[in-house]
Amino acid sequence: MVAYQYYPGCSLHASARDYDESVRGVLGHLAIKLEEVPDWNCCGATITPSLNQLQSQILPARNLALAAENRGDLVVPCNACYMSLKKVQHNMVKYKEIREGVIDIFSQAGLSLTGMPEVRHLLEMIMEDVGLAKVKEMVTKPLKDLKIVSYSGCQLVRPLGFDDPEDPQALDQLMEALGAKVLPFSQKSHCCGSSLMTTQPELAFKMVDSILEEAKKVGAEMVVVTCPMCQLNLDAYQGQINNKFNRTGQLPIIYFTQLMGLAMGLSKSQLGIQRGIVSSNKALEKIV
Amino acid sequence: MSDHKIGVYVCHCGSNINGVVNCAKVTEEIGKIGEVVVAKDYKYMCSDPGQEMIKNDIKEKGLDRVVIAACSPRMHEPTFRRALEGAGLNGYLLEMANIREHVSWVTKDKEEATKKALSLVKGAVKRVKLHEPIEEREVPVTNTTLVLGGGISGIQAALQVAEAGHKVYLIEQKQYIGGNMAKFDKTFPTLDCAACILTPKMVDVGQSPNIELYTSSEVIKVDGYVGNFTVTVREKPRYINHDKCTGCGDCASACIMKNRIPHEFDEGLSKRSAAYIPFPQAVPLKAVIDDGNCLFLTRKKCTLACVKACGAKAINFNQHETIHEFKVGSIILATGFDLFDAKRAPQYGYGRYANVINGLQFERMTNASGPTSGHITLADGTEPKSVAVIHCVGSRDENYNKYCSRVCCMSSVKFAHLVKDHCDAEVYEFYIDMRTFGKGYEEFYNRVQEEGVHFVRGKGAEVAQIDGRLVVIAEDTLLGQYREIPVDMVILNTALEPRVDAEKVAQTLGISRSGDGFFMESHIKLDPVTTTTDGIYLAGCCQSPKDIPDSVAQGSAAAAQSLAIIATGKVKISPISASIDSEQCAGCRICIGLCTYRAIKLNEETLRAEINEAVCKGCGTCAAGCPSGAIRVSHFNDDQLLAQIEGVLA
Amino acid sequence: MSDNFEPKILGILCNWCSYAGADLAGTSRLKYPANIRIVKVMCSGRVEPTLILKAFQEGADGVLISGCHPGDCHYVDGNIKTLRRTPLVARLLTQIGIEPERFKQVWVSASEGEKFGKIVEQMVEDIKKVGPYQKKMGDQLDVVMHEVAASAKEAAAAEEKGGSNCGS
Repeated sequence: MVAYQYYPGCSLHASARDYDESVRGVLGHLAIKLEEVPDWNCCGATITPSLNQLQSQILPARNLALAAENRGDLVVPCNACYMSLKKVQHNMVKYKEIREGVIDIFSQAGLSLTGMPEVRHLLEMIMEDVGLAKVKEMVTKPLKDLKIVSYSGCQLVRPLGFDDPEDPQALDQLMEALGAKVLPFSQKSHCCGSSLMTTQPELAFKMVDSILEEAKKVGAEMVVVTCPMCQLNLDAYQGQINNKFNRTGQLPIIYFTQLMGLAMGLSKSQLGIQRGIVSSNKALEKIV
Repeated sequence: MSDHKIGVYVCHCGSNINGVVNCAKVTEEIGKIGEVVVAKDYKYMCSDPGQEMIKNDIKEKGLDRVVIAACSPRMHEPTFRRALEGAGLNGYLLEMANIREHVSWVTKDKEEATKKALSLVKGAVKRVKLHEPIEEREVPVTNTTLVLGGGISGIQAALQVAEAGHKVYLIEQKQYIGGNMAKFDKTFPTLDCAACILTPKMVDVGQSPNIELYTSSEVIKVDGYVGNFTVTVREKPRYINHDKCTGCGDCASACIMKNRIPHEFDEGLSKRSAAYIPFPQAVPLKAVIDDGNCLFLTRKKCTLACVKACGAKAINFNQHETIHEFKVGSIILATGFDLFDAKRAPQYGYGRYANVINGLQFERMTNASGPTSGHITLADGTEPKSVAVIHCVGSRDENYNKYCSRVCCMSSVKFAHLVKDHCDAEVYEFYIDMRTFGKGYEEFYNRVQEEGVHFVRGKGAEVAQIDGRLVVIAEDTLLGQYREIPVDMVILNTALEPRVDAEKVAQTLGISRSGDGFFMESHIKLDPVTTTTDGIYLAGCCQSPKDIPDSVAQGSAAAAQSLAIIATGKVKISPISASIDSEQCAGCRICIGLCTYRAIKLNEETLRAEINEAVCKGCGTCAAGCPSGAIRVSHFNDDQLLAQIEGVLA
Repeated sequence: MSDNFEPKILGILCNWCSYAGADLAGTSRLKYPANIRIVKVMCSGRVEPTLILKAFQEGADGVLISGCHPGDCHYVDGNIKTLRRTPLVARLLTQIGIEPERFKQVWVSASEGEKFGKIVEQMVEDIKKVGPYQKKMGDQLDVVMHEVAASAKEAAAAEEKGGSNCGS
């Protein structure tokens, strides 16, 4: 069994339990072992970077330090956590003064840094280590005729991501491997508004609307996502957005791992599919 | 020990070297070596007084070896060799120590730099003792020139060589000459019509008795060296007998594929037949049959309406490709550029939204003989009321090309003017910086600003379709604001890129490419026309993006280089070659397999290997492989290299 | 090994690509450690094992060979011969007790000034970790070197004659 270290991040223990359930379900099915990093803390995504550069490195760096004590790459399912951890990893390797500053603060708190794990997004790990051939082999119920658009979000591909920043390909390829019909989509890596949804909802609504409208226009039945933050923003506010911009119709927002699970024959409840706010039952009728 | 009289000269190169390396100290230290009879440092060794000093010392002090510690030998070795020869000493009794590019410019610490410089000079002193006089070889020159590429640079070069009375073979991959310029409508900054200034030159090419034009042709092999190249060219069949075709176009009108194939010359904005004439002013004005689309050639099934329509009986489906071989003295490369495919930057919606077009498509649109007869129209045939021009698509962008494509600011300004002129729409230009650097360029920019064009400083980030309308999204860095500007049409001014087959061409000709993929010049400032391979010259956009004036200038410059070779009548070729000591040769034949140039043969009588020095290029690979140590490479023999290694490590 | 050990590296560079690449590092004013001494050959294919052994004999702590990228050789395929020789030379050096960090063969084109600087930087760092090169053969060194040089040539020759079975 191949083993990875797993950093679920806050969302997957709370609002995105469905993502966590499907990740564990699918990887278990693929005989991949995940070891959750012990005593992990917040990834530090949105809170501190604008206040103090060095201090903003500490939260993520502590996670990296904890992970470094074990073996294996650090797999992260959330785009925001991924970027935050990856950025700090990059800074620590590249900039001596940051590395030394972090080590200094660590020593004051009795922490040490024994190494630096590779930080990889779950999608990256599935594409590169598992591979499309293996995925295809595991598919027992192809997602035939399911019309989807894949939405990678922005933090998966910028600034240090692994896919094309303007036209990401990995999620498209994975969905095609599952048998889904992937529609062309110009909003693949647009921002979902992220935490502006709480501070400047007017702006975030507009951003979500442009994503959902384009998805509807190309004829998608669902939007596939790789991030709990994107999922929440796209899923939870569709009623308000429809009222505000005079739109009709709703689109289910689903995690890529949930579709992987379905295509591999896992049950809806194993994958937490019932937890989505906009129901995906209708869209999934023809395959389940 | 033989006793030589060595002169060592350490150049300050102003402060370039002396600012980091303590030249006086290097000179002092090196002067302590026994055979060094003269050690001097001087501000500019390559200057006249510097060279005179060396010459005088050779004459007065009887120096028989010279070491110059200065810039890279790639820069001034020929200069100093001439200086030695001027004083009656063979030029190869010189060794240069590169203490500028390899020491002062790359080292921070002054002490370290001085130490390193001294080591390199010591190596040079040890090596130069073992140098031998070498006579440069001279070979006669074939007085013909091959120009590869029939765009404006290639045309310019070909015409100039031809006008000087020498034969030119002009090879063009497409079915016509004129290149990208033939597609343009107006040219900046004077707005002359491209056809008006280009067509006469194209006609001259067609009529010049000294130019042999080969279209639909490509170079597949280049052998030989400066003055004596043999170039093999493959000419693809056009399925039209050139001698009979009158260029009437009857075959094109008759072809049953009429109006079904996207026309490359119109950048896909119009449709053509399978038999067609590329454009009305094409040179040669002959029809061509496209073997990828002709029904008869692809499926052997067609009514052959073209054959019936052709009064001149010029159509010949039995044509095959022809291979030509030319002996030429020099080669001018003018293969041009490819336009960046805007689909690679999906954020701009090219290929997704019908009214997002690239610059060349806009050129065709405004061209009176183009697909819309010179009208600027949207996909639905109406005139746009507002147009956006986005600069730097694929240029100055870490994701695509880091370089500036140089022509786009000016062509964007020209587009704005043409839009104003043709349909008076609002025009928004999205730019990072305006770069209008040429003669008359800034004036043209000012004029267009006064025409009421909106210049938005901020790279267009995205083209979206919001509620059915194109919207350009950008950060206006002068206002410090995010802007969404709705427009009817977007023109993406895309980057100029190396041609897709540039790597293949570079390998066929044995020349280098720079990091950006364009062909590399010998020296970016002082030798921008020659390549690192003698006798092969560059012109136009194959070297780097450039506008028409610069392309023409470089075409002329390349022609001058070719003519210079012809005028001299002979060229010096590198005298570095290998030779075999038949006493030591065991006849094992290993070297024969190692030599790419087949310069080594086994003498069947003596059973020893022999090297044909005329064919040998002097790489020395054979010497490195000879188990008996029987092969000597002149100027790079074992003893010289070992002595230099000993010296630099001492 | 002492803290202020500064390794001495011999660089043998081909004239057309790598020497020009090192020149470009200079014209671009890129700074890299002063530990390398550069010797020019026309083609990396000219580099025979003797030159490398000579460097170690003369007290070098490392040797760097650099040529044009495969496919870009000024002499068509001289660098391919280098490519075939490299694993043999590397094996030979390990056999006589020279650590693998001390010998490196790379491709640097005329446009890769930055890459050249980085390679030197990395090599200096790597050699600092293994320390100064000790002449392990004592007084016998010259004799051994001579024998080794002869056998290396023979091995390379046999290899070139026999095809490309490098065994790397």
